[in-house]
Amino acid sequence: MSKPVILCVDDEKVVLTSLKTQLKSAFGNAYVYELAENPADALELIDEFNDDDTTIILIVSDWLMPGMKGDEFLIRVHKKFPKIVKVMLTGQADEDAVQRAFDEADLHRCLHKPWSEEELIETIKTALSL
Amino acid sequence: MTNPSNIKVLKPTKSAGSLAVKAVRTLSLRTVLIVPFVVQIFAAVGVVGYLSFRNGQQAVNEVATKLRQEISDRISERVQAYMTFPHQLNQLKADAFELGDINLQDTPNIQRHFWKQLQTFDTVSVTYIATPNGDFIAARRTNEGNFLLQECSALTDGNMNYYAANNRGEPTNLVKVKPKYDPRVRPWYTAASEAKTATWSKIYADFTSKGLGITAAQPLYDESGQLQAVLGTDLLFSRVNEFLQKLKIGKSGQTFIIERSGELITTSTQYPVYLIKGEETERIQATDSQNATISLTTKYLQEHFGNLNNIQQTQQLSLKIKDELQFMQVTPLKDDKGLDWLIVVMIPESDFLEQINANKQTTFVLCIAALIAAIIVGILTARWVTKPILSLNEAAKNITKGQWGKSVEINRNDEVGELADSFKSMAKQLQFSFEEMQSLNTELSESKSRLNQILEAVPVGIFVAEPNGKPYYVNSRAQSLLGKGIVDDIKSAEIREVYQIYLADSGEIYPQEKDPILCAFRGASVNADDIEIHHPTRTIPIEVWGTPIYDDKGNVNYAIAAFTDITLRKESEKLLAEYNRTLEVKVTERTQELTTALDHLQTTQEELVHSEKMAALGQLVAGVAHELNTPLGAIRSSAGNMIKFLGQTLSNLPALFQSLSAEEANIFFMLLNQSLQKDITLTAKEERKLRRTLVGQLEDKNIDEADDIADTLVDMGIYEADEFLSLLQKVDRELILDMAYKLTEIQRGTQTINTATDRASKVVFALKNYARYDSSEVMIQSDLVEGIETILTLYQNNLKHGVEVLRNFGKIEPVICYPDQLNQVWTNLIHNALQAMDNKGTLTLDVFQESNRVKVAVTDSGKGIPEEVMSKIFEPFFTTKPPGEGTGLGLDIVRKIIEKHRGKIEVASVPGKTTFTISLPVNPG
Repeated sequence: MSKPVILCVDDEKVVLTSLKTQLKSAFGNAYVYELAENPADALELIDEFNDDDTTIILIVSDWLMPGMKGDEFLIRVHKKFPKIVKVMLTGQADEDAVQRAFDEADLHRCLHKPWSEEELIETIKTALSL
Repeated sequence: MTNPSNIKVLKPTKSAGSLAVKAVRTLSLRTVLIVPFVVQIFAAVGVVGYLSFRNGQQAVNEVATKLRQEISDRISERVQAYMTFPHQLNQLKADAFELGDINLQDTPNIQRHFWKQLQTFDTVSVTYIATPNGDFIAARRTNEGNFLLQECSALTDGNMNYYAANNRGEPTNLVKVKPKYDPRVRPWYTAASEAKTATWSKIYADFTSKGLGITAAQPLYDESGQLQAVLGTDLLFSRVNEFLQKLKIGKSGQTFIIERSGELITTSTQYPVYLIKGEETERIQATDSQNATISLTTKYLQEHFGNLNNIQQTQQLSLKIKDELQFMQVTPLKDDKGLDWLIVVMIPESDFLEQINANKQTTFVLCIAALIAAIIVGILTARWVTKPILSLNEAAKNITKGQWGKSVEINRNDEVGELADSFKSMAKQLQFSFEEMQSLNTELSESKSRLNQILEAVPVGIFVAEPNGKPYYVNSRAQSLLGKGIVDDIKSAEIREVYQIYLADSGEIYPQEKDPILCAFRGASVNADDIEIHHPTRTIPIEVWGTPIYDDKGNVNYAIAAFTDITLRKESEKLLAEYNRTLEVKVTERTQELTTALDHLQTTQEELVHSEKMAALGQLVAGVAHELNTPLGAIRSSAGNMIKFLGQTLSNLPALFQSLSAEEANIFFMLLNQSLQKDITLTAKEERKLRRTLVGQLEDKNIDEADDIADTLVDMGIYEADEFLSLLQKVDRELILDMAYKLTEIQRGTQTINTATDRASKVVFALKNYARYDSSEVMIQSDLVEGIETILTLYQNNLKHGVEVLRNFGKIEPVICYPDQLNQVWTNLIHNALQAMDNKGTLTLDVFQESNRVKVAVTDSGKGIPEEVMSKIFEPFFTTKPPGEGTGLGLDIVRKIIEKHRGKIEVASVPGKTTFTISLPVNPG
């Protein structure tokens, strides 16, 4: 049984590497940290893990992304994998879109860029009931 | 249509001839052919019959005449012949005495002589001689044909002795005695002695035969004139009677002989001519005869001639007895001895008519047969002649009924055949003409009804009048406007009065010289709108067009008046007049209002331009916030990591180096160096691939927790582990790797911060450029490429994934313009281009100069603008975006801005290539 996965989705590579560094610093090797630069890659990855019996326990997703907005992406994920915890991390998001993600994707929390490390880690900890 | 009663009134005195002609006209052809034919035959047969009858009649008369004459002559001759014998016999006896052959004393000789005479003269019954002294000698023939010899003399004592004679003429035995016979008292003796010449006695009844007889007596004188004897010869009429009876007189003709006194002598019938009363006989008058023919004829003769004595000539007469015509001839019979009788011959007409009647019957039968034959032939002829004519007639009737199919079949080569052929071809032509006519009629009626429908459908009143003024056609619209339809029996000059056509606003009938219908009849087309139709409750103003309609010869044969209700127009005109009066005031007012409105509008337009700019900015804000927050987030987290890791490594670094050999330290530094040269352009996906390869490598070397080690190495930018295996196989490799990771992270964090800072600076610069608002509204020289690049920067977030930007920027002069307004143009065009291709594809920007104009073309590879909306895209408030996303003012404002620069904007679009081309003068002057 492989380690559970935390997936980060953002169209900015710098954000992704920053996030991964923070998460890895906080949780070490307890999880596998996967990165996707757009929702399409993310969905592909999710299906791949599902086939490998690898569990994704949490997704951190940006909102403003090319091709698909964060709320729509999370709603799609939620329909297939309701147990994955979803966290939105965004520089700017339409309030309606965020509300929609809460309602339809069971969004755990919406964080705003620039985020604080404490807030991020705390959010994930509460989400994973650690 | 002809009214039969009218004919009667017109021709009350119709001649019989014309009536007959009319009667003949009503007869059928067959009757006409047969009847005259039959009538002719009938007349001819009748005339022939009549002539035949007449001829027959005449022949009968002739034959009857001839026959009567002949018979009378024969009777006359025969009777005269009879009557000559007794006298001749007497003469013979007298001669014998004179010659002394016999003498009175020699009785037997006398008797023998007389007997001999009887032998010779068979018509004589008795022959005798008497003397003046009363002697009497005779020879007699009996009824039985025997002979008796008589003698009365002194020798017989004055008795008459009858002796039978033997075959030598000698008396034999005494047969009978008649006592006391005195010949001198007998009539014949007296007659002869008185006449002194040969004479006839009166007719008397014979003793012996009981028949009538007559005696020829002749006195015999001596030379001295002394009567010596009287000679007598008896003639019995029975012989005459026998002759008459044997005589054939026609078929049933009769004859009888009478004396002038009317007493019957003899007849050709069996009826008695005398009556026997005991020993006496009594003569019968012809008028008393039991034979009706005899009695009636005699009476007729007596009446006709007054007395039988008056009949001196042969007379031919005819009389009717019992309704039967009898031809009669009466002939006097005389001789020199005093005989004076009448011979009457009667022949009934029927004797001739039998033949005649037979002929008549034959004639009649022949006539009838001829008639029937004639009628049959007539009928057949008539049929033969009329049958084809009748069938032609029938065919003609069928044609009049419209039954064309029944053709005539007459196969004859004569005139009738020709007639039938002519008829057939005529019927064909007729049918063709008829069908043509029918189709023409149908067309005509269709076109008529179509015309009618058209005329009824037009919302204009149509009134058509004939030259005499009689309305010819009025459509329903006209009827409703006029309040009445066609009015008969009016003159053209009365139309206006009848239909209440008035001069507008005058209360007077419309003037005659202006009447559109009368004008039309004069050949003028006129138009008048000063006409009113007056109805009891309302008045309708109308406009009328009067038009003449010409016939082939150019004469006006109809006048059309088309008219329409112009109540509304009149009211409008009134209103218009009223409006005109107040218009000037209104115009002034409105001009003022419009001026104000224009001011408002200009203000509004400026506001609109600004608000569009703000709207575009609003859309940008989302991106801009993101664009700023994203690098800020990266900066913040990287900074935090760097601080944290620096603290952690600084304290642990000396211990690490102590645990490493010199070679291991070298490898460690090599690891750090390699990591610091990390290519940060790799994508997450590429890194994942490298990581997985690395995991495989590490696992091949039996290194535990290969996943975690590989992950960390890839994060550090180390994708090949071979060089560092010695370190990774160490017990404390986790610590060594963690140190290397954290040490190099300071470098990576710095790089991240630099990148993020650059990004943020660009955004801020672009915003600064975009937001610049030149309120002075003064045109300045500006580099268009600079403006375009600014907008591209602002849209960097939208461009960076999936959009390839091709910049074909040629060398251009600076353009005198409002730069901020042009930025709005580029923003709009680029924004639209990106939306059109869903942020995926190629955005081509061409900037070049053509003489003194600069052109900027923005081309996207999107789906293209649909043909149907192409013409609307520059209209204000037109948008294809979902509500809330676009104002619909973008391209309208772009156009306005370009026009403000005296430039032009053009668009060309096909699927996959849409180009907006802006052309601006370098110096708009």
